[in-house]
Formats: sequence, structure tokens, C-alpha cells
Amino acid sequence: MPTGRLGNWALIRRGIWDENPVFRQLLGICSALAVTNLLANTLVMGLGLIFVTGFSCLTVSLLRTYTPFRIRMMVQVLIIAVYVIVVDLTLKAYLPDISEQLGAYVGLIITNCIIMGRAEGYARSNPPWPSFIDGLAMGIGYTLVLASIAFVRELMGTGTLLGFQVLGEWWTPWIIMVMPPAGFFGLATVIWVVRGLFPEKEEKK
Amino acid sequence: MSITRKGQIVTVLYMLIIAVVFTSFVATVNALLNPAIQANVRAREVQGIFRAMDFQIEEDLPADEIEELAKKHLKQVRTERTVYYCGLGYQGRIMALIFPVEGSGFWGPVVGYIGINPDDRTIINLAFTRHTETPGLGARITEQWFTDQFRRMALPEEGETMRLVQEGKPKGPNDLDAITGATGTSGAVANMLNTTCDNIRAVIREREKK
Repeated sequence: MPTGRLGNWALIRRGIWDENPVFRQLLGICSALAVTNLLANTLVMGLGLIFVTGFSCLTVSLLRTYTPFRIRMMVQVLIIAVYVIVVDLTLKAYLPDISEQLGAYVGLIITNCIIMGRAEGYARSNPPWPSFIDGLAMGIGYTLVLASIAFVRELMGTGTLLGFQVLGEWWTPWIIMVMPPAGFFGLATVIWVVRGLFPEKEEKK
Repeated sequence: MSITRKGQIVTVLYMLIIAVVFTSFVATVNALLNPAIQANVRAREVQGIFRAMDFQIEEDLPADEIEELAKKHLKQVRTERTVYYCGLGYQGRIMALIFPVEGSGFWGPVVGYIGINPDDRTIINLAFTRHTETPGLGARITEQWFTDQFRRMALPEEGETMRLVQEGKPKGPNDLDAITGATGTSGAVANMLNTTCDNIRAVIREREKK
């Protein structure tokens, strides 16, 4: 929905905190569970998503006055798909090891609700530069949440961070942290803690 | 508000133009990056082959240098049964015969290479290059503790099979540790290895006849 004139800093703050796509809007959950087993994977995934969300929203916004209303979603998906394919090809060409570890999840960025949500919810009715900032901010918000989950999962699951051994021999790795259930628990914990400590204004009633 | 004929035509035309423009963009990016991508795919396979024959190369070597080394040190041989590689040392002598180990894993295709010392019929090393097994479980086939089990193992004779059995259980000469919690992957890999061993024995027989 159009929100009137929001300055750039307000947009950034909104994307990272007030309307964080993961713990406020509950969007993009699937990838939040899947890629958070290793911090490096999460960061690359996050950067990919920031890039795609930012540029998709920018492009959708640039075309907003020309795109017929009835086909706007087809156009949005096409634009998102194009940028995701570019990210996928770039990873395969320059970071093949990480591309292999992320596997299908890079392609699945197309289906990530956050991008479509921003394109339909903001970029289609707002000017290009704020749309770009909003897209980047939402992507950064997503990345920060995932990075905090991945930090715990990798540290407790393998004793490493970004591949470097941090915990010594004394630590018995929690194998469950490497497996999908830990993604569920970790994400649920983050949502619970943040919304418990910082409830949205409506929830206080 | 009805859709007029003109509105319909504009809509279709718009979608067409958008599709052409954006698809051309993606096609261009693909054409530009495809050489690099293919080089990476090939480099990963070659690295697996080198690992299987214990041929040490620098880490993080660029793809084109890896291809240079492949040209110098690997000679591909096609037979009816299989494709295999002769691994050549620095003097041009055959150090190893490397055979592909491939088949259906628990989730998807698994591809690896096993290196054989042709002089004493022992296994040099096993290396997996591609798989989609469960991280933390089946994916552990790539870990060193698992592949190291195969080093210096004698190639099983005709009629003998390799088995991957539960860790800790008593083992015969052709039994190795499976991965705890990854029975499916372990069984699949054992099958692949036995098929490859059949190929290896057949090729060695052929070569000795000459």
C-alpha cells in the first residue's frame, strides 16, 4: 500500500526493523529454514536476495505507469525471475562451491514472498529510488535475521563460523543444529523473542 | 469497466515486448558466463579425478590451469563397458587407472572416481564430485574419514563384494564402515563400488592380455 512520502532512512529502518519481512511480516520463511545451516551460505543467499529485491523493485517501479493493471503480476514475476537467473549464473561462474551448496535454493528466490510482496505492495505504486531503497532494506532485514539464526546453528552444530574452527575439541556438536528441525526452532525462537520484547503497536492492546 | 479490443491488443503487445527484452537480457548474460560455468564444471570433475589418483595440485587453482594439467596427466580411454582415465606421472609413466563410480544415491545421482594402482591392484583413493545426499548424513561420503578407509585396500577379487557395515561391527577384508544414520546412501554407494570393481577387473584383464 502506498505510504506517502517516507524518507530514505525511514524506509531503511522500516525494512530492517519495524516491518521486517521475516519476523514481522512472516515472509520468506522457507529459505530461512533451508540455508541457515552455514553462515557463509546464508550471507551469499542474503546478498543474492538483497540484489534481486532491490533491482526487481526498481524495475517494477520504472515500468509502473506503462504496465497494464491486469498483467502486472505476470510482469513482476518475469522481472524477478530474470534477476534471479542472473544471480544463479553469476554464482555458478564465479563461486561454484557456494553455488553447489545452495543448490536449488538460489532458483527458489523467485518464489520468495518477500520480493513479490514488495513489488506488489510498494514498488508498483511508488517512485523508483524509494522502491529501490525499500527493496534493499527488506533484503537487509531478511539477511540479518537469517544470519543470526545461522550464527547459532553453525556454531553449535559444527563448532565453526564461516568455516573457521571456533570451538575446540571440548564441544560436542549438536547434530540437530545441522538438520532442518533446528531451522524451525531457531526461527520460531527469533520471532517469539523479538515480538515478545518489541510487540507491534496493535498487539499491546 | 470493460476491456476494449484496443486495450486487449495493447496488453498482449506490452507483454510480448517485455518478454522479448528481458529474455534477451538473460540470454546475453548466459552467453557471456557460459564458458566460465562449463570450465568450472569440468574443473570440478578433473579435481575429483586427481584426488582419486592422489595427484596433488594447489588449492584454488583457476579452471584453465586445471585443464592444462588434465591435458598433460590424464588420458581418457573408452571401452565397451566404461570410460576410464590413465593417470600419468611427471615422467609420463602410468601412475594410476581412474574409474568413475556412479549411480543412484538415496536422493539423487552420485558421481565419484576411484583410483587403482595398476601394479599391485590396490585402491589409491576414492573421491566424490557430485551428489545430492542429506547434509550431515549421506553427504558425509565426501568426508576424509570415510574415503580414507579405501586407501591401500586391495581390489576385491572376482565374486567378492565390498560391503558397508555398521560402525563397530566385526569386518572381513572387504568390509568398511558405513555412515551412521545414512543406511540408504551407504547401501547405494556400496552397490556403485561393486559395479565399478567389475569394470576395473575387466579392464585390467584386457590390459594384461596385451
